[in-house]
Amino acid sequence: MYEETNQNISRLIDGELGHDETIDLLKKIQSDEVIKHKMCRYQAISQALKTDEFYQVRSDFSHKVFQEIQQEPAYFLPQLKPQQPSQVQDKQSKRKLFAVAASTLVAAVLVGQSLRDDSSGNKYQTITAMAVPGQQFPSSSSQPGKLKQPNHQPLNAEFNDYLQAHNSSVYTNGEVLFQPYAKVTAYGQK
Amino acid sequence: MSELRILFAILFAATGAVSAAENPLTAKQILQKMVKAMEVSNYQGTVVFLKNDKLEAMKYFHTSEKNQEQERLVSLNSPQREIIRNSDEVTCLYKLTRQVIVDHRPYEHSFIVDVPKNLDELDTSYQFEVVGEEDVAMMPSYVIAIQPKDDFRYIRKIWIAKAQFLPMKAVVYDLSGAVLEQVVFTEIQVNKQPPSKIVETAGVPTQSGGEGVVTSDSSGQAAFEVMALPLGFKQIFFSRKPLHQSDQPVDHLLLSDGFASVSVYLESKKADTAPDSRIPEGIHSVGAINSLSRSLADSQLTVLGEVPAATVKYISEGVKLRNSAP
Repeated sequence: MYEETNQNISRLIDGELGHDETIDLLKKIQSDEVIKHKMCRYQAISQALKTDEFYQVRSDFSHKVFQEIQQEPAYFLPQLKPQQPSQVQDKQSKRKLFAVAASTLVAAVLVGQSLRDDSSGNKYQTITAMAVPGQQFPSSSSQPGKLKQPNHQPLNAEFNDYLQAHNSSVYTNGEVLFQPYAKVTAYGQK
Repeated sequence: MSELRILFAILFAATGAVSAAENPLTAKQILQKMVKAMEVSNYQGTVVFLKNDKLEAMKYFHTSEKNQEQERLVSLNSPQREIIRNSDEVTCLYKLTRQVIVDHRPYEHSFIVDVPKNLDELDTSYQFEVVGEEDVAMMPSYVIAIQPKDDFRYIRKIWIAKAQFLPMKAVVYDLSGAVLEQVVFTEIQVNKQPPSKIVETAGVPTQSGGEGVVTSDSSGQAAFEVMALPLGFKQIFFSRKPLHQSDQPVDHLLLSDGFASVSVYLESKKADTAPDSRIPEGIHSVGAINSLSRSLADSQLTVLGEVPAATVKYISEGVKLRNSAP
């Protein structure tokens, strides 16, 4: 079991691990501190073998990216297809996982490029990064050339009420979902 | 003698023209003329609203008669509706459902663009500049940029017709310069006489929803207080009344810096509310509106406004419950 995991870590660092196996391994890394530290050690060894330079990726790199994604606002815009809450949760967790995987791979690429490009400078450097607000990480399932749609959520009743109480723009928006709070009646049309 | 008079008149006119060319109107002067023109002019046209990725085309009528002012919007597309502002009351009539909604809006003055009368009060938050001249709906217009002095509010531009000083176009941009929303006239007619009679809405039968309503210019009766506000924001209006389809009152405090407004809502958490109708905690965004919801003891706090997310976050962090129960 551990032997296989060790091999997979090694293959991931060498860029030889397949997509599904990468996802499985990243899941394990996320949940298992031992494997996470092992990944760091393997990376350090790999770098030491290939070059004299040593770049350490901060262990909380993925976590920071994840936190930034969590803080991203959700967009209350009309949804194209209604989805079950369980499907939405599943999709969101997948997206988060893909985002973390993408950031880890970006970090690996950055380290690789730095090793190739930078032959001088400090012996020890720490690489850190922040997710760019609003940046969408492509999911592995997305089609090439297609942009991923933002996570649209339908306007809910409370939000509508608040928007209406805030100003008159709901009337000019053509939004028909809101419930009036002031005075409502039906009038007879002649 | 008469020739001498004509010569003096020509010289005087020429001096005036040179003086006007040398001292063009400032951005504030143009905006102040616009505020006045919006009050006293009778005009109508077709106006397009672009908000939340939605385009709404409407017929617009402004009538000013005997110190009485009325704005009227008639939708060109579904849902068919007519929106009328009489002083501080806004009435929306839905033709298909025959529904009438009446709102009390003492702090709003226009559907097109709301500009405060005293622009000097905004000097701490905004700077005003004439950044060019462009044609809008074939009307030569000044372009006025309203640039915020910090990151707590959005950038705005207003295109004002040079002839009548009426607003032809208004755009709100985010801090990166991307357009968030805009309103633009595609055609406009200015009349000496009112374009239409002032529509009476007082006779429309309405159910009273005002029971237990508390309204005030100060937030002294609110269950919360806002300890920190971005520079330039002031408390405009407070109300306590049911907002949802229940009798539970909601405290609503409206804040404004003159252009941008932010609402602070506080209400008790309801156990029987359907999960779909609750606002999830965190920051949410719809067009130029950002909102932040969070728990505050047993209540739900929501801060919402057409300001950047950082502003609603800042205001939300400054909200504290008062010691006494609401």
